[in-house]
Amino acid sequence: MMNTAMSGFVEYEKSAALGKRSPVEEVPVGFMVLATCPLILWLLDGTVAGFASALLIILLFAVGLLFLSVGQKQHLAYSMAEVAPRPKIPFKLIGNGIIALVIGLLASTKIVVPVIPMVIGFSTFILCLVSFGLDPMRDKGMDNPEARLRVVSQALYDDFDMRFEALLADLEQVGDDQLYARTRIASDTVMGLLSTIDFGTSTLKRIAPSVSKLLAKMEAEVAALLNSPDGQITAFQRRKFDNKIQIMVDSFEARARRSGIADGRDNFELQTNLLFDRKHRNRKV
Amino acid sequence: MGKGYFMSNAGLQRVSYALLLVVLLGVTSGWLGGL
Repeated sequence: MMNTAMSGFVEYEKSAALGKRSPVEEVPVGFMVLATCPLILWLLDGTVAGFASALLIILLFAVGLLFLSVGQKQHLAYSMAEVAPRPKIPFKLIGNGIIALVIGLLASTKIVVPVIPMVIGFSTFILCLVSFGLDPMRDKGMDNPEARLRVVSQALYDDFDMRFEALLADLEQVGDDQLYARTRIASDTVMGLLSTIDFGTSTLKRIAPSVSKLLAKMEAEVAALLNSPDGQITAFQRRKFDNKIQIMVDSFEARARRSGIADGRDNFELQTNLLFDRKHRNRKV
Repeated sequence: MGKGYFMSNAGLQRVSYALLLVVLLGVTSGWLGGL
């Protein structure tokens, strides 16, 4: 019966206070700072104890507001994303708790009966919870297989991108601009090919081991080049490295095309796409 | 806002935010306690 009474009172399924939707944005956390301005008078009390306690209260309040604001940002990002895990730390809940504690403490300095400050603190907690909402408690979108695959694919893609960048950063130590540029083009070709894959399918997941193998080989080549015994890199070594990288990337490209990557696009379209991607990436770098 | 509800969630949030500000101001200014 209590439940039916409650559900008639508020939109139960859409309640922000229960963490079921993001809070409205017109409830600003920062504006609450204005309401604490009278605390500044407390700082000017003149006694050391008054100054210290006012400072403590202001600090606690600032920490609470910071937590609330971080939690709010986290919640808005969560509600914008298609797929998102629930926040690991419930910042909003902690922030609400801290603010309720501060208000309870402040009230207890003037009201002698301990029950009343507790009631004030508790009702503040409820008010905070209603106005700022609870953190989202559930992972979102994980039951949708396509969205899940997209997250996995994106993570794989980002990982490959990072490994290529690390490899190129290592290669930069050699100090050969031409070799560096050629290797960058090779890595861009691979990344460009991967970027044509639809992340909602399992294609990237399927070919990830072969990309990883290619990357491992390239990393080994770079390591071998950097660890040459006498510290000097001969022209022959450079040429050998360059040839190896080109062959590896060419064979990868051929294999990728054969296995249906960039399917339905003719060679010209793919090349244009790769070129565009490369240009964009180079500009970004 | 659903039909038959007392108040929409956004409205409830705004009202409770205003109440929170009042309580906060009351506590910090010494009306409900504090200095």
